[in-house]
Amino acid sequence: MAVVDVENLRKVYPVKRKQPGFLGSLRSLWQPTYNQITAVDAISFRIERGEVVGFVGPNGAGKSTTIKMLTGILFPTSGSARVLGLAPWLERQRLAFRIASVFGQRSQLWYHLPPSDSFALLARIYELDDRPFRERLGQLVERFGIAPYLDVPVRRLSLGERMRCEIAAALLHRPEVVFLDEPTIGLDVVAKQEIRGMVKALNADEEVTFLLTSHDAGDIEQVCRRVIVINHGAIVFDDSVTDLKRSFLRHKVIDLKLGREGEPPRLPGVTVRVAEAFRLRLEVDVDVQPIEKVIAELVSTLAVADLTIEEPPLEEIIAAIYAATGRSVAAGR
Amino acid sequence: MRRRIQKYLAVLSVTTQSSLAYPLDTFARCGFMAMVIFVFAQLWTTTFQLSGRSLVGGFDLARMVWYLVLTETIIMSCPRVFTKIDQEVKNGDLAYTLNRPYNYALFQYATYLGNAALVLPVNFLVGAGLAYLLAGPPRVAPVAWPAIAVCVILAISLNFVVELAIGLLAFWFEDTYAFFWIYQKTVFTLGGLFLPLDLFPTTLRRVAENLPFTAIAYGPARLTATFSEGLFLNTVATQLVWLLVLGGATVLIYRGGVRRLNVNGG
Repeated sequence: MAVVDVENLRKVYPVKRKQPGFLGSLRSLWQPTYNQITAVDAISFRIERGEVVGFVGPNGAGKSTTIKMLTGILFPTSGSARVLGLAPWLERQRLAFRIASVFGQRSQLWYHLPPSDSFALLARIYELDDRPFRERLGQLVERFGIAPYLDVPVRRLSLGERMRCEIAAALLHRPEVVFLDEPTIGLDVVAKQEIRGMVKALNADEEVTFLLTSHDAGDIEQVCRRVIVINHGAIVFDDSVTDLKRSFLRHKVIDLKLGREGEPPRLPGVTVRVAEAFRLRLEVDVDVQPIEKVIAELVSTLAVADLTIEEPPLEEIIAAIYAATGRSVAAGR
Repeated sequence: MRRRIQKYLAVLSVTTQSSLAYPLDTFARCGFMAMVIFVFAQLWTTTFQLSGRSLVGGFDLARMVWYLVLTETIIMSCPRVFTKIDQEVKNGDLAYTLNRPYNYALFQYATYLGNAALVLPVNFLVGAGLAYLLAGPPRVAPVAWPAIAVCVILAISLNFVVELAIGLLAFWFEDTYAFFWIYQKTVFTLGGLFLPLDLFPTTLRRVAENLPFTAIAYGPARLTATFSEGLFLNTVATQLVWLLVLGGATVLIYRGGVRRLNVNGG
């Protein structure tokens, strides 16, 4: 059963236009004009229980607006969505008991108080009994390694420490679906790895469903099995991370170590990037030349000591999708 | 039901704890309270001396200064909840505060009371101490003070409802400060913050008495001058009626606003 079921969800909002200058200001007072901005344009998708789905797109693509509709904060212009069988914007309070959201650039912890006080408050807000709350808190403290920070005012925590506490706070009431909006933004490499590890572990152990937005391709590559790419409010890709690479991978790089010196093969679609005495680096356009054919040619003509095939990083692939217009990319799939 | 009440009490408690993080802020406010009461006490002492009268509009010096202690305590102790809501709408923090299993207005009310819980009694004690020194003891019996406290709580609750409505106007307007400014200055004048309504011209007094602003300042403060059971019940009834009317209007604003909400940054 789908825990998130979105059908033709659309959000349009008016943005006031003001003409420049003093006269323009006066004119907009008595004759205001508005632009209709389509933040989310009739998107549809389903997420099954236990999935970890990456939701990526450039700034203003409609990611956060979608999440805010799915958590019940925003009313859509049209379309429908059900999260755990509930209509988010109509049954927001009921849904709030079963979902959680973490917004990387905002805090749900009380700034001047230690996280332990915020945890106790959230236990009351989510109507948790004392004993289950203590047990759950103990689990999360151990899992996230936040024991040293429990009694330190939030304002004194580093961003990484705070984010671990934010996620622990969001999980206190055992939500079935968690919306993570840029949870690793601003974090260093180590803190990012910790957050990614936590998400993976929770998904594996408790079958928590995650919808994760991020600008960091590493989050998607390491945590998600499926990725939805949104651009200009429309979904331009919805499949596994592996398929994303397969669909949009235009080139691969072959790195060769040679046993003795040799000339690189001259094949259409193969460009020599590095040619040294005992090393070659070739870029292969896989649309022109199948990678298997190039490897066969290399092995038959050169004394290959070692061979590695590299794929471009996911970041590069997603950037290529953003660069194309949403519609043309969708059509090109 | 018990659990529902407990969550709001927990919010109130945590907010009070949070406000204790900056005790200097509270003391600074008390310093301003002391200054205001000192200046007004001097002003009214001089007024009574120069006029040669012991009563002005039914108020002697002690009644006048104790009246001001109450109005200033109420106005200076009310947290600026409209700013908080206005900012939440603008910076997108509403994504957290709205998305919880509680009533948003009651959550804000609990936060508001938690912020006032420390500063209100401290402001009153500072003002009362100074009033006692400069103008003498209050003219009402100690038994009246619990009743006056009820009216003070209703007054700050009424202020909350108005500020909540002003804050929620951020759903429609970019800046709500102008609305607050008008409201605040109306409480200062027609609400009787600086001057009891008894000293107003008759027509102006009649107008003021039919507005909600007097239920915030003048109503509770008047009880420190002439307390009677009838006056107390009349004040409470007026406050409850305004709470009902303005509360209803605020609910409508909230419902309309939430539907048209566009959280910034999304």
